[in-house]
Amino acid sequence: MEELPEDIKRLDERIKNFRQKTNAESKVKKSQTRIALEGMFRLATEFVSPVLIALCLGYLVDNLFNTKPIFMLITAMFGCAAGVLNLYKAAQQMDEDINKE
Amino acid sequence: MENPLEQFAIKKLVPLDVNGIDVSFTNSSLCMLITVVFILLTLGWCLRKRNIVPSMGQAFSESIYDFIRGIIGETMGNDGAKYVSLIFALFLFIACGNILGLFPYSFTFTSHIAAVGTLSVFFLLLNIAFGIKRRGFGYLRTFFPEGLPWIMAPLIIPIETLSLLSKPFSLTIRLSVNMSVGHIMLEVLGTFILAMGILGFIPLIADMCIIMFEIFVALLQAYIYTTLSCVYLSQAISGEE
Repeated sequence: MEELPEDIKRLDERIKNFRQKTNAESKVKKSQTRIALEGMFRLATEFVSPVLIALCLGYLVDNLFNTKPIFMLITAMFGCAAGVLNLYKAAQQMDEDINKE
Repeated sequence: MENPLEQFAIKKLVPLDVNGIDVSFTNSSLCMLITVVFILLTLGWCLRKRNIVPSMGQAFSESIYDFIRGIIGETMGNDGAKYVSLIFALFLFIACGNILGLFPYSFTFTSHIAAVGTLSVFFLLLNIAFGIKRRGFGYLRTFFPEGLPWIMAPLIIPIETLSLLSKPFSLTIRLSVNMSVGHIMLEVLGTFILAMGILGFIPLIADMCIIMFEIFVALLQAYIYTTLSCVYLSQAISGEE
């Protein structure tokens, strides 16, 4: 396939950026009550679920290779990190929703 | 005293077995079928005459549609317009399943991790499919965000993978636990009504209050499930975190 000229590539990039920007602007502001309700139910499970999934995976791998509890401990650490990452993302999104113009 | 967990027992109505796999038609399947038929009949009846000045039924169904459009507008912006039918169906299925489960002798399939989990995993697979369709190989950036040094890959990729896998799990646990807890409370208080004799009106009043609260929780949980599904879909197709 023929390589696109540099200016066309730049134009394509600008169109993509513009689409992304207009889409971000098109999001409607949420009411405070909805943000609070969503946060209330979201935050706890967002942290707990990756930890549980990681523990289950670690348990399965340990059972498979008979290495109890090495993989469970390793995956538990990754699970906690994923839980914190989930919380961070959720909090960041709530912050964006609150500060939306 | 009756076991409050007995109401969640799966009973086979039509036993079926395909190559050793149990695919029986159960009380859970029946309730799902009733929910779908109920939604189709209600919407069909509401929209039988479509006018510019809407009838009460048409206004009702249009207000649900507007509500879903609102959720999509808040979470996905203009990008979400083509997913309205999917999200609309998801919301109605869960909301009606929750509400129909509150009727006596009914069965709440949304309190079962297997039923809700299957729906959530299906939605995760849809998210991945839409993400790949929209962003191609760029979807793999979900597991390793741009700008990070490559040396971080062994640490970040498992964390991001666990984060992705946890999404359907958290959706499932949130909905099924909320629904089961309410039903257990109703059942426990219900047994006290007869057991307490003349003072049975106290748990009866409490039960009535909990029923009202459960209707609220049923709709709220459907809303939360739908909103978070939209958030996850938005993350998958736009790549924004």
